[in-house]
Amino acid sequence: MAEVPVVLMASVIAVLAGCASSTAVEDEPGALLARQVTQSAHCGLTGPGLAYVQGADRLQALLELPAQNMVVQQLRQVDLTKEHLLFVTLGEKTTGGYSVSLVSSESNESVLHISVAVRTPAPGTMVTQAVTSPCVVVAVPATNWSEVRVSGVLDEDLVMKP
Amino acid sequence: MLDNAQAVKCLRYSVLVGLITALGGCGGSSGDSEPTPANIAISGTIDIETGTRVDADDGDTLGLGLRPLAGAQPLPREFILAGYVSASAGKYVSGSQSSGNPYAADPSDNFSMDLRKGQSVYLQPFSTSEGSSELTLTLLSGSRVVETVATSNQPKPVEVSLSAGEPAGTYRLQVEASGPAPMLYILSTSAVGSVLATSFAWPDHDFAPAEAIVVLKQNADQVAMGSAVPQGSMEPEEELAPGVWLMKAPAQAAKAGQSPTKESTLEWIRALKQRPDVASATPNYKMRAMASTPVNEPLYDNPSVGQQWHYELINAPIAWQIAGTGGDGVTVAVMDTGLYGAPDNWHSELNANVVQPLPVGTDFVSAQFDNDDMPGPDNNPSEPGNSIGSRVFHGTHVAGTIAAAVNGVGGAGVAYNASLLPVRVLGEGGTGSSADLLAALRWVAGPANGSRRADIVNLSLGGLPFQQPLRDAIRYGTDRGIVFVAAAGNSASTRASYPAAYENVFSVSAVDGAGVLASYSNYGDSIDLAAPGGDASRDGNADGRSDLVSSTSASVINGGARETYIGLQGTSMAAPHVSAVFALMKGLDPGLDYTRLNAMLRAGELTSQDCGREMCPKTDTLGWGLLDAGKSTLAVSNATVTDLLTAAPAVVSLSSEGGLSASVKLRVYGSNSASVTINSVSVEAPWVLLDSAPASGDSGTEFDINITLLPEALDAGISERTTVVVEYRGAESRQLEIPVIGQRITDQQARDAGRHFVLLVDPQPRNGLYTTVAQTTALAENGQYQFAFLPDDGVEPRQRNEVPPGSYILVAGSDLDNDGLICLAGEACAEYPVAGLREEITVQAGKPVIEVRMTTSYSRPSISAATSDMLPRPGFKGYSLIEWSSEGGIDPKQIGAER
Repeated sequence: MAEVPVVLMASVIAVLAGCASSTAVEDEPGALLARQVTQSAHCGLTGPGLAYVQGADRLQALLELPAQNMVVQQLRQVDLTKEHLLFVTLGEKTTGGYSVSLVSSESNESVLHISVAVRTPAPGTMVTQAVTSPCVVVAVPATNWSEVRVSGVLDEDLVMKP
Repeated sequence: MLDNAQAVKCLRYSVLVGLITALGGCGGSSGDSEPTPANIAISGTIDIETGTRVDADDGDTLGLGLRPLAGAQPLPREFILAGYVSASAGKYVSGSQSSGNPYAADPSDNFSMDLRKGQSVYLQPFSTSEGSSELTLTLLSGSRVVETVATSNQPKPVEVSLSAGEPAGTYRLQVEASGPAPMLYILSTSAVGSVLATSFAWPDHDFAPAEAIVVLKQNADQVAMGSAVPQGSMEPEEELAPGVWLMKAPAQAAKAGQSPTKESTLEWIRALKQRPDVASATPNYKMRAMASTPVNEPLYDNPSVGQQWHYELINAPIAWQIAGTGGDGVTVAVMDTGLYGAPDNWHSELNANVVQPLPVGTDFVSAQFDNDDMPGPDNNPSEPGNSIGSRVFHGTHVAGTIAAAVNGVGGAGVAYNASLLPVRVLGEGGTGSSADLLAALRWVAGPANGSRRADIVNLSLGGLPFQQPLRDAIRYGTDRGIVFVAAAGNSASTRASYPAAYENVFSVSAVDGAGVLASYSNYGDSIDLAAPGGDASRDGNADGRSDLVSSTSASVINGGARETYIGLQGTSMAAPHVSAVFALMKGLDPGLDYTRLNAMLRAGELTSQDCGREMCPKTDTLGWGLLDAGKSTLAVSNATVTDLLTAAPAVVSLSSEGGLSASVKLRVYGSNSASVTINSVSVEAPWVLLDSAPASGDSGTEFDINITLLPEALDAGISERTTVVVEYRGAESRQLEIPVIGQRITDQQARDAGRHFVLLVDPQPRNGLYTTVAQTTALAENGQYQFAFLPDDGVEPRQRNEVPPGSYILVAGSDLDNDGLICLAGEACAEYPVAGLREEITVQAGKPVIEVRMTTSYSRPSISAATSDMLPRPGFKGYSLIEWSSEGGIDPKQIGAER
C-alpha cells in the first residue's frame, strides 16, 4: 500500500482498538463516565486546548464563534445540570483531513483523565484547502472536578481546572 | 445672556477646572505638567465632524460630580449626538476591563429641537460592559406625547417622526433607560446621521412624470369622478382597483412651457395629499425591468451569511451587467468531495445547474479513501459526509460559489448559469490520492476521438508533491482547451503546492475582506492571481463580522442532513471565484483557452491595478493582482458593453465649510471603450449650479462636469440631496445618476464630541490590548480639541502626559460610560492620521512633532476602494485609559477627572 490515509497517534492505538464499538467509556463496570456528543471539523476554536462548559451562556458563546459549524442541536440537548461539556480542540488546521475523537476516560478522585485520538493526513495526501478547526465535544458528569487532563492532542497532557 | 447650550458647556468647564485645581491641591503624584511652546513632544488638533454634539450629562461628566441636567438640552435641526443614560448608579462588575469604575444614575435625557414636517430622529442603542437595557425614545409637544418607541433590547435603531398632522415647530425628545445596565446611545437626525455614517440609503426610486397613484376616500368616488372633479387638479387615467386610480396631472399643472419634471410631479402629489377627498397619493414608481443577478438574491447582503463582501471585492456586480448570460453554456468541473444530495436531486441551489444526465463514472474515490455506500469508483458523485467528524460538504461549498442558481432563494454563484460537473476525487475527511486525481484529470479531458468533458476544472485541493504524470495530464487537458484553476495552498508559506504549482494551472492565493493576503494563504513565485478566500481572524470590510466566504452547504439537523449556507475560509474558497469569472468570460468568448487567459492576466486585464502605475508588476502575495470580474468580462465583451459611463467621484459632497465646488470625471468603463454620445446633463435642485458640462451631442469616452454649491439656497445646518442626471447613448440609451449632497454648515462653534482622552499607546498589543504609555485630556473649543504631550524629563514618577522617546500610536476618544475604555461603539474616536489607518508617530529627544491633525467621529470608517489599505480589527476592545492607584489620595469618584 503506497499511502496511508490517516495516522493514529501511537499512544492511543491500543486503547482505540478496545473501544471501537462504542463512544461511551466506562470508568468502573456499569458506570458511564464520559460520552462523545459530537465532533466537528469547524468548531471555530483557533488554538489547541480545552473549553469546559457548565452553563448555557458559556455554551452559547462557544456556539457563536466565527467559522463554527457544529451540530448545535445535540449540544443543546445535553442537560447541563447533570452533565458538563468538555470541548477538546486541535486548534486551527490549514486543510481538511484532521479529526479528534474520544478514546477513553477515567477518574482518580476529583481528577478526570480523558484520552483522545487524533487523525492527521499523511504527508503527500491530497486534501481540501479550507481552514478547519477540528474538535470533539465530550459530556462528563457534572461533578466538581479539581482538574481535567486530556492526553493525545499534544505531547504533554492538556490540563485545566474547571 | 448665555443660551442653554453655552451654559451647559460652561458648567462642564467649571466642573473640570474646579476638580483639576482641587487635585492639584491634593498633591497627587499623577497630575499633569504644564506644556509650554519650547517644551513639547507632540501637539496637535483634533477636528470634530459636522453636526456632532454630546449629551451634556454623559457618564464621564457625571463621574466628575456633575448632577444630571434638569432641563432640556437644545439641539440644532441636524445633529448626531452620543449620550448616556442609566436607571441606577453602580460599579462595573469585577473581572471586566471596566472593573470597579463607577457609573452614575441618569434615568432620562431631554432635548429640545425644531422639527420640520416629516423629519425623523433616530435612536441607536449601544450596550455597556454591564449588559443591555431597553431604551425608550419619546417625542413630546409640551407635555403631550406625540410618539414613543422602545428599542426592546435590540441593537437596531428606532425612529420617531413628525406625522402629517403635526405642525413644524419646537418639540422635546426624551431618552429613558429602563433596565439595570447603563446604556450608550446615538441620537441623530436623518440627514446628518446618514451622511456622516456614509450610508446613502435614501429613498430614490424612479417614477413616471405627471402621474400618481391616488386612493380616494370612501364615498368620494362618485364625487371625484363626476363633474365635481376640480379642474387643474387631476385627471383620472385608469381605475386600478376600487377607489384606487392612476391619475394624470393636467397640462396646466405643469409650469408654462415646461414638460413635467420630477420636482413638479412631486409638488403636484404634495398638493393632492392635501385634498379632502384623497386618502393617499404616491408617485407611480417605475419598475426596473432588469434580469435578476446574484445581487437580487436574499442572501446577497444578509448580515450573517452574506455574499456581498466577496462578490463586491471582485467587482462582480459590474461583471453581471456585462456578462448577462451568467456563464450559460460553459461547463465547470468541480473536482472535490462531491455534492450534497443525489443525482437529479442535488442541493436545491445547485440542482438546476448540475449537468444532466451525469456522464458515467464521476466518482473516482478509491476504496482506501472512500466513505460512501459503494467503496471504490462509481457513477454517483454524492458527498456522503464523513464517517468520522462532522460533515463538511466542501465540494458543495465550492460548487455554490461557482454556479449556485439565481432562484429567489438563498444566494447565488458568480457564474450563476454555468453548468456544474461534480467529479468526486476526495473521500474521508476531505482526503484523497493522486492516483484518483490522475484518473479524473484524464477522464475530464475526454476520449481521444471525442471532446473534452468540461471547459474549466476547479481544483480546491492540494498538498501533493510534483508528479510528472499529473503534469502531463494537465498539459494534455490544456491542449484540449480546458482551463485549470487551483487553490494555492493554506500553509502560509512559499512552499509549492501541487496541482496549483504546475505551469498550466492558475494558482490562486486568498485575500480577506480588505483585499489583503489572508493569514493562512500561500504566496511566492507560483501565485498567478488572488481572490477572496476569507479570514475568520479578520474583519477587513469592517462589517463587524469575520470575513468568511458564504456558500451552499448542509448541516445535520434532527439527525438528517439539511441544506444550509455556511462561511468557510481557505484558498479552496478563492479558487472557485476565479473559475467562475473564467466561466463568465467563456460565456462571452467560448474560444478562450489557457494561453489567451494567461496573456490577458499578464497584461493586467483580469485584475485590479491600483499600484499607481498603468501596469502593476507581479507580486509574491497576489501574483498579477486581485481578480476583477468587471475588467475580466469587459476584456472579452464585443463592444456591446463598453458604453457604461461611470462617475468619479461616485457621490459628490459639497458644503459651505468644505468644498464649495467639485469636478466629476465621467469615463466609459474599461480601457478599450467605445465613444458614447451625451444627450443631456441636468440637475434640478436650486442649490446646485452646473458650471460646465458636455453639450448635447458631444461624443467621446471621457467628459468633465463641474458643479458649485449655492449655500444661500439651503437652510442652515440642513443637508439636502439631489442628483445630476446624465442621459447618454451608446449601443442603447442609458442614464447615469450622480448623487450630490449639499450642506450649509454653521455649527462649527457648537460641535462637541465630549471630553476627549488623547493617548499614546504602544504599537504592539499585548493579549489583544494596547498599553497606554501617555495620556492627556482635552475639551472641545470652537469645534476642535487642542492637545499636547511633554517630553519625559526623567524625573520619577513620570507624569502621565510625559512621553519617553519611542514609537507610538496616537488615538483619542470619549469615555461616555466612564468604563475606562475609549473608542467603543457609541463613543467618539480619532486615530492618527485617519481612523482605521493608524500610523506610528516617533518621538525623539529635542525633535517636537507639532501640528498633528486628526478628526474625531461617532461613526467608524468602512473599507472602500479608496481605503483598501485599511487593516481589519477583529475583536477590538477599545483603548484603555491609564488607571491611577490611590497613592495620591484621589477619591475613586473623581476617577473621571484624573485618569
